[in-house]
Amino acid sequence: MLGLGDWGVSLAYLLTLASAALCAVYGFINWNKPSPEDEIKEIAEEEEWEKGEVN
Amino acid sequence: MNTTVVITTLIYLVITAGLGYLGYTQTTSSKDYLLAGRKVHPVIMAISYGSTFISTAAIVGFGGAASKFGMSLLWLTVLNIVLGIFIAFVVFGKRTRAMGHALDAHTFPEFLGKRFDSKFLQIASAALIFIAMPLYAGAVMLGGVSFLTVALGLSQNMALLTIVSIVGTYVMMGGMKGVMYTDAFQGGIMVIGMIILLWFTYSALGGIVPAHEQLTALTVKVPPAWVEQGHRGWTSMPELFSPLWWTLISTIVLGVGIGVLAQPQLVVRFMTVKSDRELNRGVAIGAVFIMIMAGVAYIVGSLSNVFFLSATGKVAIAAAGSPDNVIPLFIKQNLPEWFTAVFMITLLSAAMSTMSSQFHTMGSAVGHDILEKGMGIKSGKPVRVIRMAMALAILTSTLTAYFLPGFFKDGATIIVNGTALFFGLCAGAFLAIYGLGLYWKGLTRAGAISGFLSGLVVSVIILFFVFEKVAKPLGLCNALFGIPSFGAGTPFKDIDPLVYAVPVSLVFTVLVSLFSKKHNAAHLATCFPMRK
Repeated sequence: MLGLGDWGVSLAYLLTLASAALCAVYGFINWNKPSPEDEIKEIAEEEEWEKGEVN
Repeated sequence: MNTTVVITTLIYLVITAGLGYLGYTQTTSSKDYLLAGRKVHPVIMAISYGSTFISTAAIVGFGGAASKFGMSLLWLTVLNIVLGIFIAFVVFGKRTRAMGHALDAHTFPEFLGKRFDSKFLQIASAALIFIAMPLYAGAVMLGGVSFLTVALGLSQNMALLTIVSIVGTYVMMGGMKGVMYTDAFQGGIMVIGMIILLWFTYSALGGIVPAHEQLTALTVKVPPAWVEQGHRGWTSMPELFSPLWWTLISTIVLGVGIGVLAQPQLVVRFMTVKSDRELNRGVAIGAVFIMIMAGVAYIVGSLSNVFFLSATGKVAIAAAGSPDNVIPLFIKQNLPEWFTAVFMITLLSAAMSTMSSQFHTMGSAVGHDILEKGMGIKSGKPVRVIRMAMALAILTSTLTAYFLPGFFKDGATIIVNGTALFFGLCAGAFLAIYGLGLYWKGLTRAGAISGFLSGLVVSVIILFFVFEKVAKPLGLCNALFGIPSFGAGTPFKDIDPLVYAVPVSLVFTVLVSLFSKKHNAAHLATCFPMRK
C-alpha cells in the first residue's frame, strides 16, 4: 500500500495521519467545551446575569 | 559564509529578541514570570509545548536514525502523538491544570510539594532538576552552537556566548511570557521549514507513492551486516524478534513518550492556561505540530537513501559518515541554497525553544522552590530572586556546555547522552507519583516520598553502573570497579533505566501509601476540585 514494503510500515504511515487527524477532530469538537466545574460556574454566572437583566 | 544565511539569521535573532522584550513588558508578577499569568492563548501553549518537546536532536538525530531504520520509525510518531499529545493533554494535562490552579502551584516541584503537603518533596524535586538538567541543557546548547558556527562563521566559544546571551536575556527578563512567545515564533518557523523539506523531497522523487516505490525497490541494496541484524528494507518492519526489531521497539516504547509525560518543563505548560478549553484546542494544534516535526524527519531520513544511493552508490549513513550528518548533508546536496538558510534557522529555532524552557525550569526551581519557598529568601521587588537564580542556572548550563566535552574522555558522548540521563532520572523519580497523584486520593505523603526516592535511587544506580550508553562515558563505574558497566556483554546494558525505575517507584508508592497516614479530607478537597 502507498508503495511501501509491508503492512507494518503502511499501518504506521496511515496511523500517523489518522492519529493527528483524530486529535484534530477531538480538539475541534471540544473547542469550546470547558471542564465540568467551569461549566457549572459559567451557568451560575449566566443565571446571575439574567437575574440582573430582569431586575 | 553565505550572505543569505547571515541576513536571515540576523533577522531571526532580532525578531526573537523583540518577542522576548514583549514578554518583559507584560511581566509584573511572579504569576506572570512563572506561568505567563495563567492566561496563555491555546495556539501559543500548544506550539510552545511542541517546540520544547522537539529539539534539534529530534530532527537531526532521529532523522539520521531513520536513514537506517527506515519508515518503521513512523511508529514513534504515532506514539508521540497518542502518548506525547493526547494522553499528556487529556489524561495528565487537564488534572494538572485544575489541581495546579486549586493549589496555586507555580512550578512542577511546587505542584508535587503542595499535592503531597511536603516541603521536602518540593525542595528535593527542585534540587534534582537543578543538578541533572544542565547536562541536558548543555546537549541542546551545543546543538544550537554547531549551527550558529556554520551560519555566522563564528568560533565555537563566540557562538556559545551569542546564543546564551540572547536566550538568557529573554528568559531572564521576559520570564514564561518571553519563553512562550519566542517558542511560538520558533515553532512556526520549524513548521514552515519541515513542510518545505517534505515537499521538495517528495516532488524530487515524483510524488508520494513513486518516492516510496523507489525506496522499496532499494531493499536489495541494504548492507549485508544490517540484513543479519534483521533489516528487511527501508519500507518494511525489521524481522520479528531480531536485534534491530528489539532496538526499534524499545526506542518506540521507551524513547517515546513515557518519559515525556513526567518532564517538568512540559508539565508546567498545562498550568499556564485558563481552562480545559485551551487544552482541548491544544490537542488539535499540538498533534499536527508533532506529526509535521517527527513525521517529516523520519520520512525524509528514510528517503535520503534514494538520493545518496543514486549519487554515490552508498547508503545514506555510509555516504554521510554518521547518522547525525545525514539530514544536513542531504539538504546541502539536494535542496536549493536558499533552503539551507531556512533549515539552519529551523534547527536554531528547535535548539533555542528547548533551551529557553530548560533555563526557565532550572531557574524557577532554584529561585522559587529552593530559595523563596524552601529557605524563605525574599526580595522587595517581585521575581528578583528568581531572576538571579535564572542567571545562576544559565551560567551553570553554559559552563557545562563549555567544559564538559574536554572534561571527560568521552565528553562529547556524555553531553549528547545528557538527554537520556535527564529523562531517565525524571521518569524514575516523578512519573509514578505524579501520574498516580493526579487520580488517587489514597496516595499519602510517605508514599510519594518513598516513590520519589526509590525511583531516583534505582535510576541513578542503573544510569551510573549498568546502562552503558551513560555509564561508560561517565566513567564512575570504571573508576570504582575497573569495568565500564556491570551490564557489559549482557542485554541489560541497553535497557533504559525507566524500565526498572518506574515499576519500583510504583510499587513503593502504592505499598507505603496503603500503610501510612492518609491526607485529611480538607487537603484532598483542595487538591481535587474536579466534579465527581
